[in-house]
Amino acid sequence: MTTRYLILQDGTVYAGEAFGAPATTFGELVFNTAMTGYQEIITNPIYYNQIIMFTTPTIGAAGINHYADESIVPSVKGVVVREIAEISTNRLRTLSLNDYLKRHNVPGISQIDTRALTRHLRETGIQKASIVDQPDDHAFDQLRAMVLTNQQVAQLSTPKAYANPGRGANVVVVDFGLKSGILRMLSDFDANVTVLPYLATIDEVANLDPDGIVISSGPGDPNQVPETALEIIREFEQRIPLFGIGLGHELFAIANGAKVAELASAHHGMNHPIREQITSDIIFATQGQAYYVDHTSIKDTPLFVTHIDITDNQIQGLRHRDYPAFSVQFFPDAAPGPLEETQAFAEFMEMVMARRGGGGI
Amino acid sequence: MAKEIVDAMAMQRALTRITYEIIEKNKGITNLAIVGIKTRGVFIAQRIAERLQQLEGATIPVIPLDITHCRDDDNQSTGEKISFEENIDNKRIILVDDVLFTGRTIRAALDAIMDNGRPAAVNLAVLVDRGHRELPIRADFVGKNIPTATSESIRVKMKEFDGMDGIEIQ
Amino acid sequence: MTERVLIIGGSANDFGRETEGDVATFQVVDVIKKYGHEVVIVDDNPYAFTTSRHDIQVIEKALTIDNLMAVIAKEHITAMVTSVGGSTATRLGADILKLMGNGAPKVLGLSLPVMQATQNTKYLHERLQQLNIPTVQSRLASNVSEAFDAVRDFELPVVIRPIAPMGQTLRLQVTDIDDLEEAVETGLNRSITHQVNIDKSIRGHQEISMLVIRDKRDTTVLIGGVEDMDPVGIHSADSIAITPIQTLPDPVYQKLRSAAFKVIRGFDVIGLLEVRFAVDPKVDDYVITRVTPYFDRTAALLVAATGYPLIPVVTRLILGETLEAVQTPVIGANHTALLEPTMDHIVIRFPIFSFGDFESNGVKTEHRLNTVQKSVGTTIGVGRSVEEALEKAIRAAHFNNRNFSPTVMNALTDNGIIEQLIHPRDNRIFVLLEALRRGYTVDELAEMTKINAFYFYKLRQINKLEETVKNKPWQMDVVKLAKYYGLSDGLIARLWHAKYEEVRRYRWDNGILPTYKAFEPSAGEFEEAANQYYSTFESENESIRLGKYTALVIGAGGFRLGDGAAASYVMAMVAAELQAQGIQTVLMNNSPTDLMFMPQLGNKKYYEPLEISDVMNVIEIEQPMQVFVPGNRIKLINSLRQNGIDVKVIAKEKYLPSSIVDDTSRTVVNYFYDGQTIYLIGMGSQSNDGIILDQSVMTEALWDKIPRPQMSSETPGLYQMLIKHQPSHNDEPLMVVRPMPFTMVAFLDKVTGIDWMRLVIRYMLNRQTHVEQQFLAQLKSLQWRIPKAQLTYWHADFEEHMEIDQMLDNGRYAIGATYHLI
Repeated sequence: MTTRYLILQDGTVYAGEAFGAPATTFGELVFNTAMTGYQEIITNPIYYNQIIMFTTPTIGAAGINHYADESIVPSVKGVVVREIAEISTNRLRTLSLNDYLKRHNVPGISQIDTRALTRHLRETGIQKASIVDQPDDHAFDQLRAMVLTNQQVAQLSTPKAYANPGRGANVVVVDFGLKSGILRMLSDFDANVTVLPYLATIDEVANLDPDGIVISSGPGDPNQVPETALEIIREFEQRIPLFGIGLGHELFAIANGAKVAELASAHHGMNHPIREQITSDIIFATQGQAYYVDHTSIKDTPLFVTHIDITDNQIQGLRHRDYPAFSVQFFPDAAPGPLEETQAFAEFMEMVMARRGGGGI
Repeated sequence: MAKEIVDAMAMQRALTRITYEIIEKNKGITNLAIVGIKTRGVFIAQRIAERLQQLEGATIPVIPLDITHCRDDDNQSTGEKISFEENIDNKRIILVDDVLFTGRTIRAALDAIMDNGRPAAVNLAVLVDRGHRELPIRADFVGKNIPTATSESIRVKMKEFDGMDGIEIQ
Repeated sequence: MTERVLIIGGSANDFGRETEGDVATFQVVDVIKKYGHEVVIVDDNPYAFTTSRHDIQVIEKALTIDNLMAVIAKEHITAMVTSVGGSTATRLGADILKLMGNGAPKVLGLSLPVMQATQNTKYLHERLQQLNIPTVQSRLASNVSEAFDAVRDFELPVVIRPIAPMGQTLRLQVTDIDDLEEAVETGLNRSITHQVNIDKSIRGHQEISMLVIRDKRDTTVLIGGVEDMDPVGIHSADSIAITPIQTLPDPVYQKLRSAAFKVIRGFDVIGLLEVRFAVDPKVDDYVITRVTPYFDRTAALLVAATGYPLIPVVTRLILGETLEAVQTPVIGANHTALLEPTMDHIVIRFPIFSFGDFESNGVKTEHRLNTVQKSVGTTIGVGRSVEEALEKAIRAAHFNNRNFSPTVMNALTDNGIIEQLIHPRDNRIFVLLEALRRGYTVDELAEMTKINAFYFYKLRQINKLEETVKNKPWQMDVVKLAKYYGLSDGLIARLWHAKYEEVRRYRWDNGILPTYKAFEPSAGEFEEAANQYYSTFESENESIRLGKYTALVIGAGGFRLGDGAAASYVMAMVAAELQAQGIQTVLMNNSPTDLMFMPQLGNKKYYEPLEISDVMNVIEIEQPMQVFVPGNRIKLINSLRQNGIDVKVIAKEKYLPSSIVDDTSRTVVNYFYDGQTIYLIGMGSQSNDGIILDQSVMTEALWDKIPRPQMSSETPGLYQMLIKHQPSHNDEPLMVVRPMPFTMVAFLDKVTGIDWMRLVIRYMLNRQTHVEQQFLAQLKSLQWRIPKAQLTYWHADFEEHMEIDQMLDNGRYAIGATYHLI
């Protein structure tokens, strides 16, 4: 048993029990209220730069499973939780959550009063935090001096185009920090997918002659993403069905003239009711957002709002008035999370197939 | 035996998609009127109108149209003219039916529309296109293309009329 | 339109029917009345709290189809609620719909199919197949070859059941293909029609429940999921259960969630539906085994665990509101009832068995757990880790059960352990702990018991912890750790061979103090108006003292044989009267089905075990003026008094003292005592069949003749005196007076139309006015609400549940009772 410390930029210190790697780590501390899907969450690339705290008291009970990877390695900078369960589900019983984090050099800290910390973060918003051996002045100096990169997309996006072949429609995915769930869903529709780096040019996309284009989710501030991405959106939304997810949703909004700003307090979980405006249906989906599309900025754009989170009235979906282009703020790939909004992919693929000729299914 | 080939959720999604496409194609919904062919076409028309209202906050007129006895292959055809309560001159009409098959129903509906005025345009929206056209008619908005044998029949079920949503093939 | 709503009651308490239905009914009545509808309740449970309300029409009749049909006609009923009366009300509701057809009043939220599917497994399976939802695979075979066809499709193991069996029902589990032929032939020979049913066996699969709600717009919300620790094969009520679900990977969890939505849609249920799954952990595949369209122990558990106001929300839904329109004060974010409950704590439900009660009186029972429910009640433990929740749940459940003592475990032979691992009994959690102690590996145990390895890791932690505590007495870090994982001061004291009070002082001196956390459905994401708390030992405490002048009421604890429901009734009355007196009330209990935790009662609640250490911790925060304790908690009362606490005892005998196994009947005289003077209320008679209260036996002459015994204590309360036969002039009056059993208190309230316990509380608080004094002075002329009524002990099927086949003391062991007017 090793005591380590979680320290926050505002001076808060929590003592806890070390697990995972014994390294010192820095990141933005965010809480996630999901009760299932810890492995999917810690491997979701949107958490690059972040220390994730689970409000659910125990994680690890389902072990580590290859189907639950949203990227090959964990993306988080650290894991904070009340209890960790030492379960291995692999054949050799050698890969518990603890082993897995150790192997990938991600530190964790347990026995933290995560409820107190959640209530604290609820008031202060996102804070920089660090998991350290000693909560001394030196540690706080380092924490306060630490500057997190704003180049997350550049660091996570694939450097080279690659194929995820299928026998169906030809779909291009522009990778801003793609999670595997998106490819898994497209595979379910047998799409022939080419994943392109985030700096892909209009020509590169056009040369693939896609039937549809997906602007992927990813970490960080959409306002930091280079102009080329916006150009791709503006060009192809007119030509083929376009589907933006997460960061891709925010980029779709910006490309069409809307404003995106940082949330006072980030929201990560899967329990908020989301209303689909056109039918007034309520759905639930995994959400992970630190930025939001400003409602008032929509008015002068060719976009309209398709989904709203009714707990905080934030925009959760947009659609172009004139083109078959739409986007969602939440994660429709359900990895982890409720399955109902996977129909956004069905909708996208129906649009793709319809425009490809033949219409319908 | 009847077999459900489109469930309630997929049917809802198809209606939603048609609605979005109507907005897309018409660059908005001003001057729009929806003509629904009785019986289920009217319910579909109403659902589309409701969706448009939800999104755009404007009420779109829905005109029910009963062409049971107007089809050219109906020997009980009375030849009587149908008159609308709405003025449709210069309106953009969306004609709505549940299933597009030979095209004869649509032709009769077009006749009835033309008898009532001079719309700016008429677009056709159907929930199911099952093929086997006998007239040069094509839908602008299609929910589902369902290839069928002529011997088969397609049944669209709607909550308002049948108690539940879904599309069955028999 | 104003509806006349008939609420069909649940009748007597029974195995699987604690007070949860009453809790729900009370809340349903409030909402229905708020909408301006009229309420008629038919129920014959003398312990029901709801039917003691004076603002509704209560019809005290047996729950039979004839009685209900008559009420429907006479009272012009336009709508019915069946979802708070358990399986009885659901069955009766279905029968009414079938008999009356289109003329039947609508059942709010439910249709006939789902009500039938609740009772008829075959029908459920057929409907689920139509909905394309996996259900237990089952096929009929009339010869061996057909049976092999079925098994080739299903794969082993299977269960062979003869159709229309001669004699007893028979279930043959076949795990080896070589045994199939013989089993099928045995089955065929036992069947009158020479047919067998072949079910794919789900024994050993994991049992999961999900509770979903739906509104008329088809919006669905998952309220929560519950995981049984024990596999299929042990009745779910007898299993230790955990929420939120711990061991399912997200994709499986989401699959079940979607399936539950599909089922509630498929059956077109408005309101709540519990869907039970059996999950094959090897392939993550599932079948649906049961649907429950009424409020039962799972719903009660989830209400307690999530803090979600389920009953008020669901009642609005069945009255036609949409979820989006329902606002709830508990939930901070936009007050929306649509926020799916999310928990940041763990709740473990622990069954209460009565084997110990039986055995201490020489009654033989079968201890082995199987598919027939044997537990009679439930308690919960709440914590921030599985260890903590489990420790607290065990503590809440086990008082008075010697099977739980460590000496019993030490005496178990190795063979005995194996036998009990494979054939679990009521004390299996201790067998599991003992097996780990003796060196069985987690994987071995998981294989043998089909319990998920996760729980063995957790139990191993508990063993390690106890070992550490034992070996390191009086070390602060050790105490800290022990408290962090839920060990009580009492247990630590036992491990150290010390006194509880010494441990508490040591802990106090070292600043190891409990922190209380709120139950609320957003896991801390939103500011909530919560008033329910549980303890843990962390850094932040959310519970601050309610006020300067408060009363603390200790609940009756988990439901038990005998007067479980009546005890719940009485303590709820105590809480209600304190509130009516304008006293801020803090309630403490650990049974999720108890009346005391209905939202209408109390200003603040603690879900905690009721051992002295837990109670003292709450007292230290709340500093109440008085603490009200049920009289049977003698140890607790004494310990509290030793700590200088002002304890108000709600006088109670340990069990109904007047019950008699023989055929005789005795006269009972009932009194009210205000602390100084004793007042005669009336007489009744009592036998092993029940109690009769009859106002007419009390003649003018008798009234004066009956003795008014001298009381030694100054505690106001309800008392009674037993006489062999009616007192006459020559009788030696039996002057020993004892507290009135809670069962009698509840029945007396119903018959006289007076809430006697409320009167007791007023005198206890010294808040009586001339109104009360006048009332007591004129008791002789009080016209009883029901001149003559009989309480009959409910003949719960002990033979089926406990395999007891001997005459029982009904007053002591009855689970519930009914009453009727004579």
